[in-house]
Amino acid sequence: MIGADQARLTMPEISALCLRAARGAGLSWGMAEECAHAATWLAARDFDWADAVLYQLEASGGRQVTPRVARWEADAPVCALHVGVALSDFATLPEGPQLDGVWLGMVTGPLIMVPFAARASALLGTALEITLDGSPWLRVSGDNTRILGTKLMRTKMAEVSVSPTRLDATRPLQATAQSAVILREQLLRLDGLALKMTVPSSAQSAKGAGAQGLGED
Amino acid sequence: MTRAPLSPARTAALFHRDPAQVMQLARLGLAHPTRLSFLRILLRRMQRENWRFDQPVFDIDGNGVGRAVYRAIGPERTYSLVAFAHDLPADMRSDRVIATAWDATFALYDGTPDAADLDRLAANVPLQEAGRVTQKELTLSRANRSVRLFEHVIQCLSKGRQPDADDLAATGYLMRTTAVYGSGKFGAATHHSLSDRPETAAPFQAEMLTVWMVRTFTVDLVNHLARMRDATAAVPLDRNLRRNLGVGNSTGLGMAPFLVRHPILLNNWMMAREEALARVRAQQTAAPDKIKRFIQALKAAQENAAVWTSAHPLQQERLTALRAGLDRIAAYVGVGWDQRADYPWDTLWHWGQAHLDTEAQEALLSLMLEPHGGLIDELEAYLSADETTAFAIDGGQPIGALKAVLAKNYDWALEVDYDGSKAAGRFWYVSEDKLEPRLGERFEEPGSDRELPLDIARQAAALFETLKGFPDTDPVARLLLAHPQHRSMVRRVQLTATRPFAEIRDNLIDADMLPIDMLRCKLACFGASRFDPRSDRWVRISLFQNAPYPTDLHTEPDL
Repeated sequence: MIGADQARLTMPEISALCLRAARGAGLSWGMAEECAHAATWLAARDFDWADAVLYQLEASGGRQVTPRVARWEADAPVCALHVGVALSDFATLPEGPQLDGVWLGMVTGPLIMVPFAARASALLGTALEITLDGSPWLRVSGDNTRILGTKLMRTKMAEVSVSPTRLDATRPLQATAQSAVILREQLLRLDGLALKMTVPSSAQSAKGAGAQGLGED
Repeated sequence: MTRAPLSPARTAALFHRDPAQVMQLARLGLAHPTRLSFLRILLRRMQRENWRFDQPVFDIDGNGVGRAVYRAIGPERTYSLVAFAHDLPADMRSDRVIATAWDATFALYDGTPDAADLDRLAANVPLQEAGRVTQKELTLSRANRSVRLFEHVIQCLSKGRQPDADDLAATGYLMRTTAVYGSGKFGAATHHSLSDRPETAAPFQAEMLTVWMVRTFTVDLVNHLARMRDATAAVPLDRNLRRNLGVGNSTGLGMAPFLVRHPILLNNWMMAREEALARVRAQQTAAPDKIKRFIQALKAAQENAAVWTSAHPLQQERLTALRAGLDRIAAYVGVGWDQRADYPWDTLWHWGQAHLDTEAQEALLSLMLEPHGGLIDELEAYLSADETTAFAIDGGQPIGALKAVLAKNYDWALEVDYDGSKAAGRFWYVSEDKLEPRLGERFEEPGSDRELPLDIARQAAALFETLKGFPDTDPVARLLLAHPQHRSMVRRVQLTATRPFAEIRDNLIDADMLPIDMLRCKLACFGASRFDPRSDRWVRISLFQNAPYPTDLHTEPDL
């Protein structure tokens, strides 16, 4: 059961909504695809995906980060979506976390980075531990996740480090959900962003799309 | 699949067509349904597994208002089509996606619905996009009556006579669906959640089952309404006549981007078909029963082409070419084809390449697959894909390797001048009113700043230019850090390295591009026939025309 102020969306609906919202918020199509992927990854594991996505799209930090060996560089706090994407892109390179881990710097909205840490973990074939301001937060092993610091889940900005760690013997959190809940107020905000990538239909295109009426049916 | 599965025809690999030829839009737009089409897969499975069918609810009044439930009972699970029939004023009947009312609305329910389920569905299904269904529903759809046929058939039947066969053939359906939503849309079950069920593992099986049962409902409805008008005089629609009726479907641009947004599925669908053709061509001999079946299929195709009509000049031209081509095949098969020589099917294929135009070549492909179920039907297992497996970009790939794949698989796109008004004449966008894909004229309409990324050719060329500034040894990750705008294209290029059929090899924003070619390609994969364009961007087709009904399924000789 869900509350009157909530709606339930399927994973394809979450993906389509977040893709359009991210594009409406000005991300490139490739980054918008990553945002949609991250949203469904989080939703399938019952994380607060809508808050994570909205935080990136409405109040994100900078987008420029320079991966370096052991310690990444940025002039200002960087949004976690961009840091996460770079982390998975550089996962197998010297700038990645496979040796002694990597300090990613100050990151905004770190939750949305987790799917990309999971992807990096899968690429490297090792578990990764994420710390926020030096405190253990999450452990990812491929698509499996273990929360180490529950109180850190709503952190909006922190220094983030990612390090290789041992695989966990106990059963981790796995994705099972085929749908997830969102507050209607959040849904409206995402819809509002999604609307920004749409175009009013012209009479010309509507006509070609089949508006002539039934005719010979 | 990234390469063809181990083939029972060991030399099949030598007979594959070049993806550069297969994936041209002009050729894809002439595709014909084959025995690997999704509706054929559904019918074969239900026959093979001895599915049963019944109709536990049929509560519809004389005005055609009420509800009905049709069940398809498989070896492990039951699926129920829940139908709501409405009395729709003529002025509200529209095939457009902006319509808000329909003659009938449907949901495919997972199991047998109880009264509470039916009440829940009654409150939501007639609303379509404005309602919500749940994970217990696999599809949501709606249909409108054929104005010229539906009432005419009822009138005939209620007076005790059958409608004229030519009248039925001219339309081909009693109702046409205007949307069949599945895979998680509007709250329905996702394809992923059903993929471990054998009966829904192949693409669009729930959608095909829905339409097949809708077809039965349309015939039952006219029979019922005829009886309600005159119970004494009314006769049911003749079995042979009803066989010629399918379910119509109106399809617009909403379907076109699918093939671009799902390159792995497109690859699998095309690769399975091409592997099937190669296996047939690789047969050293042609058994008499196979030749007999081929000739039967050819005759059926000629009959189908004879009654297939279209008011669209382009389709009329294509139909003329198809009829002439089929006649030419028949003539060659009758006298010129040496069926006893080695590799007779390959001989036939090569003859077709030399003597037929593209429309008939693609028809010949479909005909050659028809007798070879034992050789090719197993390929249906390779049509689906977990698309997430190829989503991650390989950031460690050297730029030189990416460049090589791009040059090989996108050579058709790299030399085009996209600054010209022809090559970039159009843009795809999402409409504000219905969130549906549309096609705009770039130099005449506003909105190209919100363009959808279907300009694959132009993106490929832009990426190629950018790559020139990078050393071959640099990793892709460094490219994407500096040029994030290429991210989507890099993902596509990487996945085509092992999926040569993943990309339509044409410029989809060209001023002369025909969206209906994209539609026909996908609809042929479904198994649609009687393709009838109504403009360059929307079409009517028929599904399940000449297919068996539930009562005939288990006596059908060759599905």
